[in-house]
Amino acid sequence: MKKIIIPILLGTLLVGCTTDDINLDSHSAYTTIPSTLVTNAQKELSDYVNTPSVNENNFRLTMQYWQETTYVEESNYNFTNRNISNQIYIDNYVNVLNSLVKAKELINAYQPVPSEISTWPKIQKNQLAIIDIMQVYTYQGLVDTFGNIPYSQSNQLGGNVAPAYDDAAGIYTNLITRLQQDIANIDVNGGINSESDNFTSADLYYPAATNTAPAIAASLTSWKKFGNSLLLKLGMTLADSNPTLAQQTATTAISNGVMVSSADDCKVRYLSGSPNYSPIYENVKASNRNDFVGGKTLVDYMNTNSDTRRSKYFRTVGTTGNYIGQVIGQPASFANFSAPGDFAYTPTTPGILMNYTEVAFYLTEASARWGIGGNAAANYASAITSSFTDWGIASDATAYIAAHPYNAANWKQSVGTQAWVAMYNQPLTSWNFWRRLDYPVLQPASAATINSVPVRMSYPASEYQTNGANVNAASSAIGGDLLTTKLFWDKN
Amino acid sequence: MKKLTAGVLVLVLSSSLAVANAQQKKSDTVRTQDIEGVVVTALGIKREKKSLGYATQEVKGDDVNKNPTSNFLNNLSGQVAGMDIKQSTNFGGSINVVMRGFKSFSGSNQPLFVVDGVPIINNNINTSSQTTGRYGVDYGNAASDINPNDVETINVLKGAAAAALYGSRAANGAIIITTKKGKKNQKGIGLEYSSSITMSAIDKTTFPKYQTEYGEGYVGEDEWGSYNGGLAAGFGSDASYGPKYDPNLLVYQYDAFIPGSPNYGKATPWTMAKNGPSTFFKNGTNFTNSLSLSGGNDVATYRINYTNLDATDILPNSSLVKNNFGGNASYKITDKLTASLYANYITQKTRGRNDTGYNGNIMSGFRQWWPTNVDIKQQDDFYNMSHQNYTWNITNPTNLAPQYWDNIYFQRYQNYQNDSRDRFSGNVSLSYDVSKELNFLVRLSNDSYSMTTEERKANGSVPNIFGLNINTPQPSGYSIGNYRLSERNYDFIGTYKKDLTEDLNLNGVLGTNIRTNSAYSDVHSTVGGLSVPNYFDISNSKERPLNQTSDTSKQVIGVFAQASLGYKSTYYLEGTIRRDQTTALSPGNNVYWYPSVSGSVVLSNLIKAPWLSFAKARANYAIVGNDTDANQLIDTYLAGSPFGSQPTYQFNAILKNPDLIAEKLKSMEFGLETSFLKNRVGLDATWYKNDSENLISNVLVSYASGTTLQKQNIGNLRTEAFELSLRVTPIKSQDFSWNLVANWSNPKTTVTALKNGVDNLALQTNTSQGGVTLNAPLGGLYGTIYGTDFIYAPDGQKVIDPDTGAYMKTTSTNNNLGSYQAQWFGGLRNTINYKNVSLSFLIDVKKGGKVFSLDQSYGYGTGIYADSVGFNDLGNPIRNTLADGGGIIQQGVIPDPGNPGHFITNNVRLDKSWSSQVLNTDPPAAAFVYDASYVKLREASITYTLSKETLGSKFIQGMSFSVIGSNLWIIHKNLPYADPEAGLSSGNLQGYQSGVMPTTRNFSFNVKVNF
Repeated sequence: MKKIIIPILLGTLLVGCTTDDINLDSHSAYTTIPSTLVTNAQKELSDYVNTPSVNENNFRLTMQYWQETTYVEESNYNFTNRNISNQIYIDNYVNVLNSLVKAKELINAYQPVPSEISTWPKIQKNQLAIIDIMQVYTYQGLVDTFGNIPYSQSNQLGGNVAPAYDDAAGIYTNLITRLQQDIANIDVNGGINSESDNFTSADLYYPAATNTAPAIAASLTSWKKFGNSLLLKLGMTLADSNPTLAQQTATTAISNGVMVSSADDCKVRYLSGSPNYSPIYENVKASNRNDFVGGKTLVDYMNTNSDTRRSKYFRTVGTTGNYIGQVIGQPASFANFSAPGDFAYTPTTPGILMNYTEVAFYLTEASARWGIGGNAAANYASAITSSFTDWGIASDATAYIAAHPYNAANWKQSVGTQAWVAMYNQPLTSWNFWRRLDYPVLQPASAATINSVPVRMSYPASEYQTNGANVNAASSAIGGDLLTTKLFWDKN
Repeated sequence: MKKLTAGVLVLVLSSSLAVANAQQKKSDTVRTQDIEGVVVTALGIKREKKSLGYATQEVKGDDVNKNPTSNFLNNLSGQVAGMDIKQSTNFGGSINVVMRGFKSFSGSNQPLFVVDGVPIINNNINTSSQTTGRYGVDYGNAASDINPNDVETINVLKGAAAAALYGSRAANGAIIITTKKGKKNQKGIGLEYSSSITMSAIDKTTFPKYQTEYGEGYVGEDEWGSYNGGLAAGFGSDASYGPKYDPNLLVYQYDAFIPGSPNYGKATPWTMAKNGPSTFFKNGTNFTNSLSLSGGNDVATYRINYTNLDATDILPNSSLVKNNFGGNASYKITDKLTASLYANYITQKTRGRNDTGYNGNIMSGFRQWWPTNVDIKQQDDFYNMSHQNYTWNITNPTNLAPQYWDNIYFQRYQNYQNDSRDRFSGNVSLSYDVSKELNFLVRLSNDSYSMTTEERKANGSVPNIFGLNINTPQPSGYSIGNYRLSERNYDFIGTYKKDLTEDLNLNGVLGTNIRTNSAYSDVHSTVGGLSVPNYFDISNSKERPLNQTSDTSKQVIGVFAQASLGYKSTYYLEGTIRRDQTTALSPGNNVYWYPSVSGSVVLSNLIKAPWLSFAKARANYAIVGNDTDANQLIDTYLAGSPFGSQPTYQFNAILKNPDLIAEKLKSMEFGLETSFLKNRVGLDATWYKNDSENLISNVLVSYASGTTLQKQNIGNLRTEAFELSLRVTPIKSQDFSWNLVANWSNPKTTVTALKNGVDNLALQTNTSQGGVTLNAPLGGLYGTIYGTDFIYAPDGQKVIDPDTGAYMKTTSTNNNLGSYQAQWFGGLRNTINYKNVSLSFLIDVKKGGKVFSLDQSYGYGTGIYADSVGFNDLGNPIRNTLADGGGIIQQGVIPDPGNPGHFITNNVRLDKSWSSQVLNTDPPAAAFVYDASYVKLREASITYTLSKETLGSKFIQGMSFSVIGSNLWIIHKNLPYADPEAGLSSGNLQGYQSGVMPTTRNFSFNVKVNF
C-alpha cells in the first residue's frame, strides 16, 4: 500500500503546478477600447455600401449602371449561387451592428477616471448617440433591402441565436422615434473624448479637425446634420405608405437642420494602400480583373442627353472617343465597351454614406409633395448642381438644368430620372429612389428568369438553415420571399 | 457495381476452396499462437489476446513497410476492418483515418496514435480556408513521420472499451505501434539495410480527357475579336467554349504578342494544342534508404536506426527530404529494475507542395477553366526565356498582364512554398518489480515539433487572396508561419498480477496520467504587395503586415483503475474506471468520470470439436468522456488592419461559451472470434453501437444575432455497424502457402439529436464554391451534402424550363444530395508463398458515399470535357447554333401549356452554342454529385527472399528483393476524370473536390539485406 502512495502523491504535487489562466491565450485580447470597434464598424459599413463586389452588393448592376463582362449571373438577378444575402447579413449584423453594440457595452461599463467624473456623462451621451445614429442607418438599409428583418431581438449574441422578424413598418416608426432622441441627445458642447479613448480621431465620418473644443463642437454639429438628413430620408421613404408620418418627420428634420452643402457629406476618405483603399478600386483595379463595363441603359441616356458627367462616370472605348454600354444581362468583351470612369481606378475615391446631393433630391421631393423645404424647382437645380460639383464639373450644371428643367406636372419623372443619374455611385440609395418614384422605367435583364427588375433581395439561405421558423413566418408576412415582392413603402 | 465485386470475391474463394480440398500436407496447421498470442494494449500493457473483451486487430510491420511512401498510413488502407483510410493525392498531404464512424461533429474523429507508449500529435495545421476549398496548401499530418521501417507490429484498438485507459482521445480508437527492438542471441551483427527506388506516373483515368474540337472562348463563333484586319482569339476567356478548330483558319493567338515568341506578329492555325495539360506532369520519384543496427544480451537490448527519404512530386519544382534518426534501448539495472528509452528525431524539408482548392490552383485551372488550344510546352518555353509571367491569359495585345491565370511554370518556380519540420519524440521509463505480483512503472513521454512554413507570390502574378489576407486580393506577397506543438505525458502506473486460486487470476492496474498539450502559432503576411520586387521578407511589405499569434495549453489529469479476472483461462471479466480533470472547461464542469466493463468466454474450451480450433465470445460496454480545446470559454477581440494610424478591433465572430460541459460517448459491442480447421479458417465478427452525447461544436446561428457561430453542446451522433474479418489459408505446405485476409465493415453515423430546435448542424462556416455545404441534419447522415437540386414532376422526372430547354433548379440551396459516408468498405489481401518467392496483392473496395465535383460543375460550363461535344438527334453537332440545327433536347418534362399542373415530354431544344454560364443554363449542384464507390487494386508485390544458406555467405544473414506497384488500377469508379478518394485535407470536411491532383501509379524496387 505504501508503495502505491508515492506515485499518487507525485501526481497530486503536479496538480498543484497548474496555473489559473492556463486556459487563456496570452495572445488574445479579452477587452478593448470602444473607439476601435467604432472605426471598424464605420469602415465595414462604408465598404459594404460602396463595394461593387458580386459577392455582396450588386446594385450597380440592378440599377443598370454597369454590366458584368464574363460571368453574368448577378446581372441576371441570380443572387443565390454566391449566397449574396448571407453576406449582406454578415456585413451588416455581424461586422457593423455587433461592433457598435459591443462598443456601447464597453462605453456603458466604463469607469471614468477622477479628472472626468463631471464631464463623462455628457461625453458618454454623445458617444452613445453617434453610435445609435449609425445603428439606425444600418437598420434602415436592411429593411430597405429585405422588408421584415430581425430588429428588436437582433444582436443579442448568445442570448438569442434565432431572433424573430419584426414588421418593417413598425421598425421604421421605431427608427424615427429613436433617431429623433439621438439627435436631441447630442450636446455639441458636451465633448466626445474620454481620458482613455480619443473618440473623435477614431471617427472616420466626422473627425474633428483638431483636438480642440471648437473643432469637436463642429464635428458634433455635423453629426446632428447627418442625423437630421437621415431622418429626412426615413420620412421621404414613407411618403406613399404613411403620408402623415412622412410629412411630419420631414418637417421636423428640415427645421432641425439637414445638410446644406457637400461640406456636410458623410463619407470615408479612403487611403491609398491596401486594405484601406476604396472597395471599388479593390474590385476594379487591384484585383486586375475586368469584370465590369458600362450598362447600356445609363450610357445611352447620358449620350442622348449630352450629360458631361459621363466622362467622369465612364471611360471612352479605345480610340473611338465614344461611350458605349452593353445590353443589360449580356456578357461583354471588355475592350469593346466603356470601362468605369477614372474614379474607379483611384484608390482614394471616398466612400459615400450620404451626401448633400441626395439630401437636395429629398428636399425637392418634399417641396413637390407638400410644399415644405423651399421651392421645388430651386431644390431640383441645387441637387443637380451639387451632383455636377461632386464630379468636379460644376460649370456644366447650368446648361444641363436648362436642357432638363423641372417638370412640376410629372415631378416623379423629373426627380426620379435625375436622381437615378446623380446617384450613380450610391447604388443602394438609387434603388430606393427608383422603387419609390418608379422612374426611369427599367426593363429586366436579357437572360433574367423573372419579368421585372428586383424590388427586394430574398432572405439568406443561412436564415433558412439556422432560423427556419422565423424566416418562414416573415416570408409569409411579406407576401412571399421573392425578388418581386414589393416592400411596404413601395406603393404602385 | 455489386455484381462485379461479388464476382471477384467468389472467384478467389471458390478456387481457394477447391485447392484446399485437393491438398492436405503436413505442417498445415497455422499455429494458434500466431492467432491468439500476446498483444500490446493500452498504456503498453501486454495482454493475451484471448483475454480481451474488446475488438482489436493486428497488422504486422512487414505489411506496412514493404511499400515505401512518404506516409505509412497509406499502407494501412484495406488492412483493418472498419478502419477507413483516405489516401491523399496531395504531395506530403494529410491522410484521413476514421475508425467506426464519427464520434464528434467538429472535433477530431481521427484515432489516437501511440508509438512505444508515447501518444503522438497527429493534427494538421491547415487553415479553414484550405479545408473548405478556398485556397491554401495541405501541410500534412504528423503521423506521417512514423518510419514504416521501424515498425514491428501495429495493434489497432477499435472501440471505446479498448481505449478506456487512454481517456478521451482514444474514444476514436487507438493505433498502438510497437517499434522493432534489439534481441539477444540474434544472428549476425544485427545490421539491416534497405533501399528502395520508386517512380510515379499519373493514372490518366483520374485526369480530364479534353474535347478536341473547340477552342478558347465562352460564346462559340461569336468569340472572335479582331486584330490587324484578322481574327484574334479571346485571350481573356478561360474556357473551351469558343470557335471550332480549323487548321486552315489563321488567327492571332496570345503567342503572337509575346516578345521573343517564334510566332510573334503572326497569325497561326486554329488547332488544338499538341501538348495538353497531361504533359505538365513529370514522373515522381522516391528514394528511401534505411540502416539499422540492433542487438542485445541478457541485460540490455538496443536498436538504432536511420532512414533517409528523398522524394519529388509529379509537379515540377517539388521535393521532400526526410531524415529520421531513432533508437531504443532497455537495460536491466537489477533483476527488478529495468530502464527503457525510446527516442526519435525527424527533420523534414519540403518544397513545392501543390495548391489546393479553387483560387490560384493550377489543377482547378486544368479541370475547370482551360482553353484547349494553349500548349503547355509553349508556356514552358516562354517562362524559360526570361522567367517572366508570360501567360496565355493576357488582357489584350498591348497589355500582357494576366487576367485570371499565371503562366503555370511561373507559378511553380516563382510562387512556390517551402516548409521544414523538426520533431522530437521520445520517452524514458523505469519499471520496478516490487515483487512477483506487483510492478511500478514511471514513464515520461514527450512529442513535440516545430514547423516553419513559407509561401510566396512573386510580383507580376495575378492578384489573389493570399496568406492571412482572406478577403483582399494581393498582387504579390510573402507569408511565414511558425508553429510549435507539443504533448507531454507523465504516467505512474502500478500493475498487480496474482493467481488468487489455481483457476482464478487477477490483473489490476492503478495509475495516473498527466497530459499537457501546447500549441503555439505565429503567422505573418505582407499586405499590399512587396515593395522591392521578389524580396520575400515581412519587412518588405508595402502596407503594415498582418499577423496572428496564438499560444494555448491544456492540461488533463486522469486517474484510472482497472481490474481483470480470469477463470480457468476460459472466463474473463474486466472493469475500468477513470476520472479526468481538464483545464479546458469551467470549474464545476471540468471533472468527469467514466467506466467500462467487458467480458469474454473462450467457447472452444467448453465446446470440444476437432474442426473448431478456437472460439471466443465477447461483449463490452464503455463510457468515455471528452472535453474541448483550450480557450473556448471567454470571448476575445481581434485586431484588424489599422485605418491609417487608427487601430481597429472586432469581436470574435465565433462566440465562446463558458457553460460547456463534457461530451460523453457510450459504446456497446458484441463479438465472436472463431477459428476452424486447425486455424486454417478464421472469422471475426463484431457488432457495435456508439452513441455520443452533448457533442460540442461550432453551431451556425442566425447572423442577425450579431455573430456567425457559437460553440455549444449541441447534439448526439450514433454509429451502428458490423465488422467482419475473414482469414483463410487454403493451402499450407512445406513449400507453398496461400493466405487470404478479407475485411468488411459498414459504419453508418446518423445525427440522433440536436438541441434548441436546430434541425441541421452546418459542418462548415462558409459556403464552398458551387453553392454546396457539408451538414449534419437531424435524423440524417453525418456529412450530408446540401446544394441546389433539380425540380421533379410528380412522376419523378426532371422538369425543364420551356423557355430555354435547361433543367430547372431549386432556388433553395439546402436540398439533401447525399452523404459522403460510404455504405460499406473493405479490403482483400491475397498472399501466395512458394519457397522463397512471395506474391501478394491488395484490393480495396468502397461502396457508396457521395462526392461533389466542382471540377465537373465548372467544367460543364467551360466546355472542357469530352462529353461536351457530339451529335444530336438531328445528326448535327450539338454546339451549332439553334438556327443551324444544334442544341440538344434533354430528358425530362415541361409544363403542359394547355393543361396547368400537368407535364409533357420535353421537346424544347437547349442552346449549346455558348457556355451555359453565359446563357444562365447551368444545371443544379445535384448534377455534379457522384457516387464515390470504387474498386482499386491498391497494391501488388513480388518478393524474392534469399536465406543465409542459399547465399552461402558468412556475413549476410538474409536478403530480399521486391518489386511493388501501388495504386495500380482503379478497377471501377463512377466519378469521371478524378479519383473519388482525392480531396482537400484530412478532417471532417470530405466529399468535395476542387482542383484535385491526379492519382499516381507507383512502381518500386526494393532491396533489404541483413548482416
